[in-house]
Amino acid sequence: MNNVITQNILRLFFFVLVQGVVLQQAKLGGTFFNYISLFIYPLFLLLLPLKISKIALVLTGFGLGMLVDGAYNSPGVHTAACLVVAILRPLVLAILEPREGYNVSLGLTIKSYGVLWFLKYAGVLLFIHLLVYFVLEIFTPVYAIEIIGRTIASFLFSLFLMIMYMVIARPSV
Amino acid sequence: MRNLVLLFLRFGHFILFILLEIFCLYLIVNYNRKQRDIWANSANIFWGYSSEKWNDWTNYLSLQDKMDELALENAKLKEKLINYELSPIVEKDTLQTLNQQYELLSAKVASNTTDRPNNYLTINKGIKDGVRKDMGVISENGIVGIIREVRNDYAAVNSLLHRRTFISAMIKRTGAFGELKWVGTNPQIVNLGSIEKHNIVAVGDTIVTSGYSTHFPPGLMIGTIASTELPSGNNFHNIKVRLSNDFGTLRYVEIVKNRKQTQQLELEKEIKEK
Repeated sequence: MNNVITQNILRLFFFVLVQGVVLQQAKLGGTFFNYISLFIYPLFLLLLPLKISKIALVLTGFGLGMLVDGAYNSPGVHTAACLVVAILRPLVLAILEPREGYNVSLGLTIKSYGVLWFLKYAGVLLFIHLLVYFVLEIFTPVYAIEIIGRTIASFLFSLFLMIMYMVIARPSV
Repeated sequence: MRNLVLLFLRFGHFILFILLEIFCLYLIVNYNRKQRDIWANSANIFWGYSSEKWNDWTNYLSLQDKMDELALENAKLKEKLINYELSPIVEKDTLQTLNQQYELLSAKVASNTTDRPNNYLTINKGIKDGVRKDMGVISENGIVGIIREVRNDYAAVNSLLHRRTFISAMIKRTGAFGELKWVGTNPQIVNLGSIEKHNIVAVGDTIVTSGYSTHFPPGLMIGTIASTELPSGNNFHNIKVRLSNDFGTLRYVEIVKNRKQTQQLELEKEIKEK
């Protein structure tokens, strides 16, 4: 049990640090195609234990968003997206539940439920997260095309980054 | 109380989510420069647009009243103009109102036809407004017809497009006068008969009321000559007049009350009987 909490706290600081220091500066598309933003920190919410209460999940999402917003100096933008992911996570988990059900002792990882399941789980929530984020970041329907373009481009690269993390770090909880 | 606690246990996370999202939106539009500018701008546009639409709508609702008002005002003005033109020069400044022969009353068209052989209009003024049989009806573009039947609140008008409506008309330029008659086909064309062949008639000449009948004051616009021919062996021109009034779009009309109508009619009747 202690192991789970320590793991998550460490992961929180790692993700926020990587996001704030490295990924914020990364300009993958160069100055001409500034559509790709890399997001790793939503993965923290996805990897929280299955049995976490809904209220705790919302509060954790709020805290995570605030930390990232502190790094980005954009009060509220990342937080709003994190809250949406936190409120939708139980719903998505219920929809994607495997036939034999979830195993409470296992983490929500590739190792536990397979790559395909994890791709669906992370894909849905990451896409929603990015969409909310870019809507609030760009904040005008005038650039609707840009919102969608940035969401899709960032989605593909961020999802790849998350899978890389899962493969390399092999978290079990 | 217990229900409230249960409700919160059940939906607490969702309520919390809503509250935190509102807080986030508050942060976004207050502490992010770009979003704040966009927000302020959009709010301006939204409120400006809404109040404009609201004004349009309320204006639209009062449009009917305004139109009635304007029609009334129009009738009054036209009444003055007609009487002014009629009164002899000496009377013009002082005794005008006492001598006023014609009075105009504005009315709304309740129903109207143009596609029958004999067309009628119904208007929303009747006996209680002082409307009587045989009064003339005009609109801003020209004459409309003659009152045929009157009830308490409504009156039926024999439109100019009625084969039994005869109106005395004259060619404005020469003063030659004849009788207007509709043949029952084209609602824009009427025939002008009884213009003798020694009169010079040209396409485009203006046709106005002659003032010899008691229905209309003289000089009211009727239309212009569309075509004319003089069949050989005929004493009269065959003139077609294009009406200035579009009978299909009539909404407001004015009833002409001629105060001296009875006098004139009685006199004419007396002469005929002798």
